[in-house]
Amino acid sequence: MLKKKYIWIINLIVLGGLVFGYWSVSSRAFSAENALEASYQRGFYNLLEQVSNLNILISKSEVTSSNEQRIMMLTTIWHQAEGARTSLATMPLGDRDMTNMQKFFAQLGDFSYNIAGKLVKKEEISDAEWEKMRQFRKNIQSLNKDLRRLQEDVSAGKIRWEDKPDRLIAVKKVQGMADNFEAIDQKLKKEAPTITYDGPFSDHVEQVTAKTLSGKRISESEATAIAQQAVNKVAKGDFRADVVGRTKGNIPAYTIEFTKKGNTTPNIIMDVSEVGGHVIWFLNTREIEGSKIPIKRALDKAKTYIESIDYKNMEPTGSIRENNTVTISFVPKENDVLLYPDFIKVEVALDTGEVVGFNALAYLTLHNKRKLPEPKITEQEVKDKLSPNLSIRRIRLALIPDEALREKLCYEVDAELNSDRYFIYISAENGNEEQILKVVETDKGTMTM
Amino acid sequence: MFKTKKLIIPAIALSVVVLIGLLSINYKAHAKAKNYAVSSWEGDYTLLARLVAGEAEGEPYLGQVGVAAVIINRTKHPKFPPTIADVIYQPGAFESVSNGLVWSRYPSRNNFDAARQAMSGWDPTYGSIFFWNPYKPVSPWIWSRSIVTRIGRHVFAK
Repeated sequence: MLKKKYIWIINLIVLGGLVFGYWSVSSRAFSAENALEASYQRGFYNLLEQVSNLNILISKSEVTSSNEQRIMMLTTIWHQAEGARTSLATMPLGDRDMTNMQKFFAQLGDFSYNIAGKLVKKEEISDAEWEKMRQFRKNIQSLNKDLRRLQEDVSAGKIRWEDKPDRLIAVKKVQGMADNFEAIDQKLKKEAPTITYDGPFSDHVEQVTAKTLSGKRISESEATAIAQQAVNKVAKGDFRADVVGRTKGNIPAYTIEFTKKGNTTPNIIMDVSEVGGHVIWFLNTREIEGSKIPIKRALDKAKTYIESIDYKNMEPTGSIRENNTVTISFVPKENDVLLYPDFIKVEVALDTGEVVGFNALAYLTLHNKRKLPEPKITEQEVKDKLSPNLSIRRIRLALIPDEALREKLCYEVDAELNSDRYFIYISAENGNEEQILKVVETDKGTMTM
Repeated sequence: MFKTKKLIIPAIALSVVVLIGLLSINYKAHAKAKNYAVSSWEGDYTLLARLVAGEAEGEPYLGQVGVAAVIINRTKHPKFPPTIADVIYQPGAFESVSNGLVWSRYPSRNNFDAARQAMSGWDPTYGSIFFWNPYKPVSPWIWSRSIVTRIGRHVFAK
């Protein structure tokens, strides 16, 4: 009898424990879920506000007759559009093809910023550019409408972020937010045109194709032979070469791995272009212990190396030291003009001075016989334009890529102010200041920012 | 009577085990949330290395550089958010962030090297903005991307 009571008490305690356990777990899960939902909602409502601001700002920027006002509005559009990108990225839409809206905001902001820049420089805004702005306004109006409709459904409780139905109280099936967003995104994709302009998010930037490489198409065994030769120059020992695949990047290539005798994992990986058999890049992944070689000697080693593989007339432009290696960039020089877009990078190990990395992708993609424009401005005119506080160390001509990957011939002014070093780029076309880089000398090497 | 008694005791034992199990799961989730807060102070470099550790563990070194390069490429691409943190924390974008793996592993030296090399512009994927493991279930639309290369178990695409 007593025993029976005892069992009942234990049972009650265990049952109580179970109920408590379930309650504590589920209440925590519930509050975590709510917090998550809240952060998603926050992103959503921020987005709504940003889109609505964009809608108003674009219309106003078309109406205003003051260019000063217009510049302010356009930079605010840029700012709001960047905010919209961040808001959009906080929403759980990751595994969908939800990228058109991101791109739309990126281009809208980028384009507005660009037009603002033109207005500041008192450049003419073309009819085509106004037409693009009108198109953006139409798109943002319809986006605004769609999002408002979605918001009504959200506040009516018809839509939640999590599209699983509530398991305990299955009252109604709630619709997933991601589906709704996907529909709006696809609609935007149809409505928004592809546009080309002078900004980093212009459509042409994505579609950079390599110039045609010299030489004929090579076979797998020819590629292996070329790669083997390149490896012999930079590493000692017996390596087994395996062609592991083909790469369909902007330069189609064979990927070849080299494994040292006795090793199981590959030591050196290299891409050799299918056309012409150029070494695009390689990487030696060996351990590098200690650094015995001074940077200056590493630089000489890198220079000797690229000359030995027929990259002639290259000028070193910077180096970064990390761990036990130093990476040096070189750019080609043509008629005393530095061609910055066509850089190559060489990584030297500081234990033995061997070249452990090489990357000529930019060079192979862009380097060709360019028709460099004649500078319309003289060096003296550049000097007259510069701030008198600067002490000039050197001026030379350089071709630089702008944000939209368009090339501009500039005077590169190496100058000092308050013991800080700067590179200032003045357009050789019209004397505009295109860019300023600050040189930062660290214990790791020379960097520009 | 005797039979029910026999049943009750194992039932009690079982419920205790289940209860302990439930509580310990809860405890683990709590510990992970703490790690999460600490890591928000770390720089982009460490964050990138962590993602490499979470997404490309057991991959060849080049595959790790590739994964890091995809993150860098996304920050420069109009279809993705503009910073490394925004890209990595985009909800649902990376499995290791969703399941917390990214916080439970500390990056190895290789992972750090891969992150560094990608940050200084090394890109074996030629500008890819997607990668996935074809042996795992993935969204079918992803196969519509143009595949650039394959490194280790990952497919890289634009």
